[in-house]
Amino acid sequence: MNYGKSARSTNAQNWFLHRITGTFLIFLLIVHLWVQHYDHQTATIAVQTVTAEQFEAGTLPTYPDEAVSAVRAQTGNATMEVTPYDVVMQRLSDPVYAVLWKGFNILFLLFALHHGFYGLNNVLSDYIRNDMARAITKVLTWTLALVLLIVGLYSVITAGWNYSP
Amino acid sequence: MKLTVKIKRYNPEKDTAPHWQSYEVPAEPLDSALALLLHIKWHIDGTLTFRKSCAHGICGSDAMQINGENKLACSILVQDIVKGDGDTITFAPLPGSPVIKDLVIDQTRFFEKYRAVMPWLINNTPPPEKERIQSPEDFDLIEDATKCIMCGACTHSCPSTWADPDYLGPAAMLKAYRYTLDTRDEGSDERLGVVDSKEGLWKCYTIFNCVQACPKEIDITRWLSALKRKSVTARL
Amino acid sequence: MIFSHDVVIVGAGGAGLMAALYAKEGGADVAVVSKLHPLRSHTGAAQGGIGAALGNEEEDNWLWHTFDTVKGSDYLGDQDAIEIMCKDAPRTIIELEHYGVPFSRNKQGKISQRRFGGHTRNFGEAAVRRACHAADRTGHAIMHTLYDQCTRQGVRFYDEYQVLDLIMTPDGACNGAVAYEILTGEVHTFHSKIVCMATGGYGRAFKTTSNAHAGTGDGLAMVLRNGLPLEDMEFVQFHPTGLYRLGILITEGARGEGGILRNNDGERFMERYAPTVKDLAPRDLVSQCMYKEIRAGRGINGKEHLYLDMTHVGEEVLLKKLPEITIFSRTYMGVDPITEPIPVAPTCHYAMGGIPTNFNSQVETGNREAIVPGLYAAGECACVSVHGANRLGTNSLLDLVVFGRRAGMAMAQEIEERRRERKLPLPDAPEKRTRDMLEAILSRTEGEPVVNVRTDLQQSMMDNVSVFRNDETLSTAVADMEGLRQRARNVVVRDKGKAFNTELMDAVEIDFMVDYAEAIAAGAHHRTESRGAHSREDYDKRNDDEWLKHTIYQSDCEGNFEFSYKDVVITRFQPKERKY
Repeated sequence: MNYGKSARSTNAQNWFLHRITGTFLIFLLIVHLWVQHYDHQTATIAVQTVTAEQFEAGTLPTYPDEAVSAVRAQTGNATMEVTPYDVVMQRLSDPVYAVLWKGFNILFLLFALHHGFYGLNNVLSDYIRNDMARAITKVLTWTLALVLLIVGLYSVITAGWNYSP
Repeated sequence: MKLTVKIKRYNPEKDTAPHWQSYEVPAEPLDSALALLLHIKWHIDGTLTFRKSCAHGICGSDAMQINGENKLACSILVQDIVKGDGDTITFAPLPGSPVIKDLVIDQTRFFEKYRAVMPWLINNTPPPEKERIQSPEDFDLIEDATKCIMCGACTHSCPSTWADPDYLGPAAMLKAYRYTLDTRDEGSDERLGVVDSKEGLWKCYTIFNCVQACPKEIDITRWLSALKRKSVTARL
Repeated sequence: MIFSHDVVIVGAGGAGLMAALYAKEGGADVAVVSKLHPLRSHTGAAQGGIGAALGNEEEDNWLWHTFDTVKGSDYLGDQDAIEIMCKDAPRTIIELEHYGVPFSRNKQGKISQRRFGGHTRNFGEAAVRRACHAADRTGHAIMHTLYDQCTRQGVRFYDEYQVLDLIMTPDGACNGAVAYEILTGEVHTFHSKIVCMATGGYGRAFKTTSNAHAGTGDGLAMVLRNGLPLEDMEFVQFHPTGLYRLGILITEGARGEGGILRNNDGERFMERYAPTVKDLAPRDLVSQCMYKEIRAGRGINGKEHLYLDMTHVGEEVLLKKLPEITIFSRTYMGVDPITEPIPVAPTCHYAMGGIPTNFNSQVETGNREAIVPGLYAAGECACVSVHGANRLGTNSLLDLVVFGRRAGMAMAQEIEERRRERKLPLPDAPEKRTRDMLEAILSRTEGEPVVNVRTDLQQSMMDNVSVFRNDETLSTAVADMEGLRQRARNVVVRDKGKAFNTELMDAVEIDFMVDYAEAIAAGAHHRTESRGAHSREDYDKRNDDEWLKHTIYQSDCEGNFEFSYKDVVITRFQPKERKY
């Protein structure tokens, strides 16, 4: 092994980004969890859970009244059945919320992809020790990350366009 | 009390694979684990082979796996390992390096990594007539790291090293820390060039096995993290 | 196989590494051959400090250091050599600091110094802070730094090669060594212009010792077997504070930081024996006083130990300045020195005697003018003699680095002068004696195991040649050696393999051990006076008229030995009664 003879890798920057994305991911995840599962004030898809007995008896989870009425108010249909898709689309088509939530989701997407794929690369390079194989793995994993990024960006940006229930 | 001592034996001249062998050994609670091995070697089976020297935890010869944990055999007592009469103690060589014989491992690679980090003071400024001045606070920065006895317990407990034997490992990088953070040293660029590499610092995933294994209770992961911060700031 | 180098250094402790570093920097091609990996050497166990009159804490002077060392040696040390050591000390410490040794620092950022036994200011007025230290792992800090520097300089290391013999030309010059490669069981020849012995001490010849298992003094036996003498072998230092039964060292620095020895009555008994410096009297005196207390029935609960009381010193000092001994006490005795006194008893610690050398570390034949060409010795195995009849604490590390350094520089110079010369030719079959010895051990199938012989030898030395000696015990010890020699030559090993056969090396070491143990016992029997660490109950006074001289011991290693003498060099300080 020729230690110190190879050029400095980009690991220092990536490691530092890994710390930053990791720190941010904690907050992003907390917001994500809160909004998706606990917050009844903004439009959410949080469901009120049912017990095992209720489920057996055929009772389905329902949405909080705030969420249902927000969707109904926006569509003007006071009797419509509200699905999770409706709730999310309602949120992302809202002119005020859309920019905020799309920005939030894009940040979430970027950080999660970098964090996850840097980690994955570390694990793979622990077990793949041939320099050529390592380079190929690196290209393949970051290409996959890029594809996922494009798909994610497309989904987030286009969501809510022309939404009509 | 009487203990069952189970030892992972391997004789390169006879065996194709390691095997376990058990001995019945009389012991006192205050005996060290090394005393058990010495008893076997001297009184039961002279072919049992292990390294030893100072017998009080400063020379670093007798790091080995005792009941599954990397320890110095001389620095752990029977009463810390077993509950009572008839209990079993197992001895195996440190995991992660080739075994030469019984509990003796080949440390060639371990010391190759030590040499790779340029483990010496680099200072090209002509020294003063007297000692170079270093405040007690600056000395405190490196004191913990200077306690290292190079026994190898940490590096051979490190899952990153097990997965990738080329990884420099905690012992070598602690040495890099000890010199790089020494206020008298001017070689941080050269040394960081070695540790800030694909087989260096960034493969430390702060697993903390090294801290648990260190018989000198050095806070290794803490110092490696400090070295990572130093590497990042050097780049910025 | 034959390895060829300018300089072959046997042993890789403080002296060996220091010699290697300075010889290499001086341009020589240096090989260090050691039976252990260099970092496992016993210099690493030195705890408390290294003495040098730096004057970082208070006024100090190399002349005071010289006086203390002369007085500590009970006037048997050679004063020219002592003066060189004490004068060289400050600059050597500064060089070590420049090499990167992590010394503890005082508030001004200079090397911190503390009090140590026998070190005083103004020729004995009061204790002085002279011991430079790296917490209580000074030897460890120095040795690791030296190894780092040797690595940097590209010194060639042969790790786990055990040297078993020297190669001498018919003219009595040394031009190589024979070594057993532990890993493979091969016997190799090292061919060189110079060999430097740095093989350390022999504490393992005694039952209770602070020395490592490797401290078997092999070099001394090799020298004897090649017809060369040993000097002042009767002087064996017992360190006052070894952990009871185990012998693990508790540094004198513990008393330097304020620790007090107490007997069963809780009395600070050293006040009675040494009113000025009390617990910081030299080691020979403290060890003898401890034995007197124990014999007077004042051992703790009637047992053969006393207490080292550190409880008033405070947690901060213990954890910051004496962390290692705090851990040792907790680990091995289950005693926490912060709240409880530590059970201690004297433990065999240091060999004042050894291979006679001049102050450039060249080996002498027992006569000051006649050196052995091509042979150097430094460190504990050598006898310059700077320690005389008793070594002061902190002077062992100092001896290693000062005379290791001088050896290194002298060897580099000699190599430079002999640049155009060829190495002296090897004799025919230089390895034969070694191969025969190993073959004899391996082919033997009947006999007793090594441990029996070693245990009996250690017991005899402990019972008969320890702190107090008399004609009866010493005659017994000398007589014991004859039987032990025959037994050592007939031990049987069960491991007959070539790979990492440590049992075979145990068998060789016990054979060596008898040779120098005989030198110790016979020397002690021969010297009919009490001086320093050599305390005869039947001759309890120092006798300068007859015995102010070094003993030179020569032996055929078959039980026939003879003594000759060498004058002590006295320059500034005339022998006086030794009081503390």
